[in-house]
This record gives sequence, structure tokens and C-alpha cells, in this order.
Amino acid sequence: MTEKEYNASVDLHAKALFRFIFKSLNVREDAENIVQDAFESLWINRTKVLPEKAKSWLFTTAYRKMIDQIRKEKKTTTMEENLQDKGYSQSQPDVKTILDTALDRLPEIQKQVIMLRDYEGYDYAEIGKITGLSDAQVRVYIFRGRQTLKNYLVKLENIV
Amino acid sequence: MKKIINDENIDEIMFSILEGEITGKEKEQLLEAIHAEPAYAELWKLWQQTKIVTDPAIPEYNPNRLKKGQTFIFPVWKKLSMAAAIALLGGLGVIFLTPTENNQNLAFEPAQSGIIQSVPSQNKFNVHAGDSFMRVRDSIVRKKENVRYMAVTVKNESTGRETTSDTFIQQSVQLAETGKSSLPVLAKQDSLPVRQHTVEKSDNYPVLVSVETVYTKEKVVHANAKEKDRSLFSRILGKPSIKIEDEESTKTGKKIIIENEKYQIIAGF
Repeated sequence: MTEKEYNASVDLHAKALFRFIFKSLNVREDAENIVQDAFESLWINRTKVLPEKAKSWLFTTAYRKMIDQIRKEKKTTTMEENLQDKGYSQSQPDVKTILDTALDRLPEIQKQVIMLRDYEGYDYAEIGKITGLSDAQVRVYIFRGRQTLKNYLVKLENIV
Repeated sequence: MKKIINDENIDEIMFSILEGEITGKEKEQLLEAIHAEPAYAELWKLWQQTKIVTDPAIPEYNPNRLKKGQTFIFPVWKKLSMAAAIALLGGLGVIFLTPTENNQNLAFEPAQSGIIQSVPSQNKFNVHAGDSFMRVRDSIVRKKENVRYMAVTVKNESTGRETTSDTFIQQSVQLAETGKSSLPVLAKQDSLPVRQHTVEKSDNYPVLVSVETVYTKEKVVHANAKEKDRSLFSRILGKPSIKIEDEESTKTGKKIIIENEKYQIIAGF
């Protein structure tokens, strides 16, 4: 990978990568650091990474750094705290807000695969490469994640 | 084979449709069946809502700082040429902007009875004689670095005779070294304080001497209050006029007169 190809990778993937990491961590500074680390790692290993493989390489690297970050800063929040953070009001439920809250409540792996699927449009094989899972495992995690979200929405409708 | 929808497989079917695993005619038939049942239709709406869309609340990110090789690389030859240009400009600035005694603190006194005093010639020397001239010139250059060599011809109002200064070099050196001049201040002549000397006419080339005006280390009050506010450049170079006149003592028979309101420079060739 030449310098030009590296810079092209920055233009193509940096924003999407930041979006993915930020959505997981919800802390801008941490997301920027992880993105920067991922690209720095790509630069160091530019002779080994092909330009067409840069995207999956970046997401894989960033994903692993993100998981490490999450494990270091294990956050436990209650439903009420999440709802308050998201600005949720019982009198006026916002589906999107509720969904974001529910997404945050998912197990980390389910959350990651759903975000890779919906935000970045990866197929099961690509998600499997990034997360180190098989295609079948990715499908199962996505199914379970969506089912949880669906059930949460059903419950909310019942409350409202 | 037509799929049968029931409560046990409805979630799986809806997930497959959502993920794009079921497409075409089969998808149409399934959706038709789903919409035929109100409970399934509601359930399908919920499944569709589990698809996460791009969150507009995500802050903007500028990745430009991640790029490599964005610093401007300046070629070495350009650096050297820029350094040379700066040094040249700096040197010229030092030369032209350094205040010299002859450019500042001009002293002049009002004309005394309209008579211009004649300065007696000192040891006359034939500055045109090759080696001696060079020795004299070199010694003066060493002693007074910013002497400008020009021929000065002044008109002697009392004698009506034109003279050419050739001993002013020694006098300039004297002034530079001691700060004093043995020469009296000459009367003002057409706003030009100049020195006047007498020399023997020579068939050789006219000597180039300094055009130093009378100067003193003491501060003077400018006759024109506005004059001191003028910049150095405008005082030196302000609106000069150039003209060529006949001159018998020169080889070409011509002399160039460059003058402004402060200075007059006469050079013969």
C-alpha cells in the first residue's frame, strides 16, 4: 500500500469507522483515539495490507481495540439512567430513542454485529472476519439482537 | 413449495425477509399472507423497526489529520535561493537604511554676505596617477566605509570659476575619524550646502570624490520643520533631476548633474 492508497483509505473509511466506534462507546474522545490507533496500525503495516482489504483490516483492528476499551471501563447502567441520558420521557416515547437505549442494553457482541450490519452494510462473512465469528454465529447473534429489540418495543407499546 | 406461516416460524420468516434472505415471488407471497393477518402485520412493523438507521446525532469527524505526507516539502534548492534572496535584501537594507552622517543631521548656516568661502587646497596630489590614486582610494575606503565617490563641481559665486574637488577625500577621512572638520561651513547655495575646493586642472580623468555635505555630530534644527519628518529615502532620493551639461575639464566634455532639493551630485567622465 502506497502513501496515496493509505490516504485514500482515510478518505473512504475514517468517518464510517468513527461512526461505528462512537456508537458503541458514546465517548467522542475514546472513539477518535481508537480510530487514530487503527489507522496508525494500518500505516505501520501498510506493506502487508492490500488496499482492497483495508476496510476490513481497519474495522477488525478498531473492533478489537474497542472491546478492550469496553472491558477496561465496564459500565453498568440501569434502565432509568439510560432513559434519562437519552432524554426519554414516559409521556412522549420516541421510538428511535427507545431503540438506541435498547441497543445499548444488548450484549456487546450482538450490538456490534447489528451495527456492522445496519450502519456499515457488511454481509455475514465480512462481519465474521472483523469479529472473529463464523457466518452462522453472526446470523444467530443478529437474530437474537433484533428479537430482543422487537420484544422491547412490544413491551413499550404495552406500557404506553 | 409454499411456506406455511404460523406462530412458531413467523419470527424466523420475518427475520429472513428483513435480512434479504427471502426475495422475489416468495417474498411477495409471504408478505401477502402476513398482511392478511392483523396480528402478523403489527409484528412485521415491529421487526422493521429493529433495523438501525444512521444516527444523525453522531458528531462530525474530520479525518484529515490521519493522512500522511501532508506537510509541504520544500525543495532544498528553493531553500537556498530563498536564503540568498533574504540575505541580499537584508544586505541592501543595511546599506541603504543605515544612517550616515552625510545623510542626516545636516548642518548648514545661512549665507554669510552671499560670499562662499574658499577652502585652501591642502597637499595636492594627482589622484589620477594610477597607483597613488588607488592607494588613496583604498585607504579611504578602509577608513570610511560608506563614502560615495562622485565628482563635485560647485560654482564659485565670487570667482565665477568652476572648481573640482579632489582633496575632499582627505577631509572626509579627517571628519570621520575625529568628528571635526577643519573646513568651515560654507554658505548655502541654492539650498545646497556644499564644500568648495580649488584644484589644478588635469588632463587626466576627473577624480571621483565624496559628495559628503557638511556634517557634524551635533544635532541641528532643520530649517524646514517638515523636512525631519521625511523618511530617509525621500530625503536622499526625493525627486532627483538629471541633466547633462558641457564641461571642458572632462575627457568627454560632458558632465552629469543629479540634484534634488537637498543634494547635488556632479560627475564628469
